[in-house]
Amino acid sequence: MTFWQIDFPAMLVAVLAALAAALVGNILVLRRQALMGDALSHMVLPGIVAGYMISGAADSWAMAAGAMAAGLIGAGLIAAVQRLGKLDPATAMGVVLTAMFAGGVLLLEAADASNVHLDVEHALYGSLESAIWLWPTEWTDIFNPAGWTELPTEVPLLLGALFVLAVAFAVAFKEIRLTAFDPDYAVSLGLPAWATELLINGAAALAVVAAFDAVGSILVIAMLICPAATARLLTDRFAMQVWVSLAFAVLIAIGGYAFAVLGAPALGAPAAINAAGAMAGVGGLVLGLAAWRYRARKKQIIL
Amino acid sequence: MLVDFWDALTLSGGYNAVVVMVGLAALGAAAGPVGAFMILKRRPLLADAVAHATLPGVAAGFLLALVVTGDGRQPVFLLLGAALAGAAAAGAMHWLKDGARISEDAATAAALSVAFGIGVGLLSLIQALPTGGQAGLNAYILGQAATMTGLEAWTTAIVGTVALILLAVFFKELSAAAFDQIQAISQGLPVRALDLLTTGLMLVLVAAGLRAVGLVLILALLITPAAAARFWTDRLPKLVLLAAVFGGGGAYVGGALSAAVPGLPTGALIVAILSSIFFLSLAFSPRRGAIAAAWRRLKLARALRRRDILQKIALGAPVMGRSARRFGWINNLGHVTETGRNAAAQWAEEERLRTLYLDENPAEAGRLAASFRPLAAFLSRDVIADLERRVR
Repeated sequence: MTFWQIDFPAMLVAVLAALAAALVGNILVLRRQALMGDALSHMVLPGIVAGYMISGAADSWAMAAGAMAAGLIGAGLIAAVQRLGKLDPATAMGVVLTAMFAGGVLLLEAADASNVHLDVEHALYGSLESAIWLWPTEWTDIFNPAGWTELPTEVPLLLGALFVLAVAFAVAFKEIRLTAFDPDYAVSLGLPAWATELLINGAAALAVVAAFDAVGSILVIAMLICPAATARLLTDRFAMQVWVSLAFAVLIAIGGYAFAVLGAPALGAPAAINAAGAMAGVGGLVLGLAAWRYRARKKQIIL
Repeated sequence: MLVDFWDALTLSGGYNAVVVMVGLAALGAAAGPVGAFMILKRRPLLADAVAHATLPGVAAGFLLALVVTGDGRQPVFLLLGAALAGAAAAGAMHWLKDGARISEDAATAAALSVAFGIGVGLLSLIQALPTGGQAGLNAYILGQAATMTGLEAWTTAIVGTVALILLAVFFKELSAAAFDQIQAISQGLPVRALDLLTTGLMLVLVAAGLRAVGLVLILALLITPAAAARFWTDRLPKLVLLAAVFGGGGAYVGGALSAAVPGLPTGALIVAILSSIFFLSLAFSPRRGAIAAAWRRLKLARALRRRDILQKIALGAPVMGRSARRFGWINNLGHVTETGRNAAAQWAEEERLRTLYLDENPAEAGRLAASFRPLAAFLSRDVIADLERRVR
């Protein structure tokens, strides 16, 4: 087994997942809806399990469809609970996300305890390490289309999600910027609030679902928020912020993976550590440094 | 299975099981009120960030205990590690959030997931260690009450009980500070200290509840009972009491269920019970429930339709539509019936009374303007009789 068979596919999955998540994260951070990412990443679990149970196999596409449905149902449920109970949005989110996650866990235990492809650990930590690609033996092989069919199933799923999100960003960039910075003005221009909400929730659900397999339900939140929040601290223009967040997404994915596989053993760990966890850690480090730099500069300006 | 459930529910399942059950009930009963105060302070999801952030603390506590005592599974080390890490994450969140660029929600989400990621990394490190591995640490993620040791069960029970006592002692001060901070300050209450007490109680309850309920779902133990209680009352003391009852009862029944079905994570079962309480309250509460609200809307729509039709009949305007036929006010040919004419006359009479009353009591306009409701709903019989006499 070589770098191209083990590390390259895992890094590819990590980078694609981080890119898809970072793209949506830009909107969530600006609209102050970061916690919607938190809620969605928990709420998709019952959908994933249902997709698994209905398709009868760990079929990525069926599970993604189930997750997408669960995410949108959950978002609707939050809105309904919030309105009916006159609760504040965060409370409604907390109630619904824990209810759906608990339902997913119970469904998972009931589904098939002996199955190794789908278990609670997988849902929580992701399974980046299981993304392997047996085809290439040297780097030139990765450009040979004959081997592309053997890519891990996460790759086409992630590429599809990334393509959809990238096209949406390219086509509706101005509208996205408008709703992100000034939702009220966007409404007054004839973009109905519920439609915007639905589209953004749909986009976030898509990114969460695509990245779920790779990094699991909780670490995907780091992939959504850290690159975008870092870019928000370092840039003043939305277009620049998006590009910078994408660059940080790649940096965090590769840096985290490298730390897990090379850095931790070099520091004395007996083996490689969980790569998704390391990615979240690097994301936090990057965000912390950016926040520190931002503070320092702001203080300078005031003085 | 049913026998096991009954045994656990009636506290006849053995010494350890009894301590676990009592501990869960105390924990839930304390978490409900604390959650109510957190919601009032508009920080319901702080508990979620703190709970997820305990994972690296648990893992670090395990590693430290391994180095110091040779065995990683020392509840005291794990509990202290969890509480410290939770507090550190809350501090990091506070530092990170900045009104202009990083809003509170982004700081919460970032702290939550990054800390959890570090915890996952540490867990995988522990798993790779030659000494024993992470056996048992997974229980901290989704909760496994059935496998708790006596010491762990006692810790949970004591922390829950102490928290309950503190809540009872400081109830008045805590509610005053949570409800109206400015008034509380003007009354000379130590608002900052009370704030710290709420947050501290939340932190301790989260740390103590990890082993039984798990860090992913412990948020529900705090906020779901209070959110459910909101459907039944508008008064804070009753809300807090109800939250305690829902939380304690839900944790107790969920714990009994998990004793009966040992394979299922306790946290998920407790949350399933608490969520059921919440959604049943949402549907069936007579005052604020969804069904009651829908029923009120239907009745209102009917009253409005009724009023519109009667107005048309009284004015001699053409009347059409199914509802007029269903009320029996027009026949199949579209002509106004005897009943319709009588009802319209009665309505017009009442309108005259209403107008007269409003002329004399303009201050009551807001209350009486809803002309689709009968006057008897607003005014006493004597007043109406007096109006009738004067109109004639």
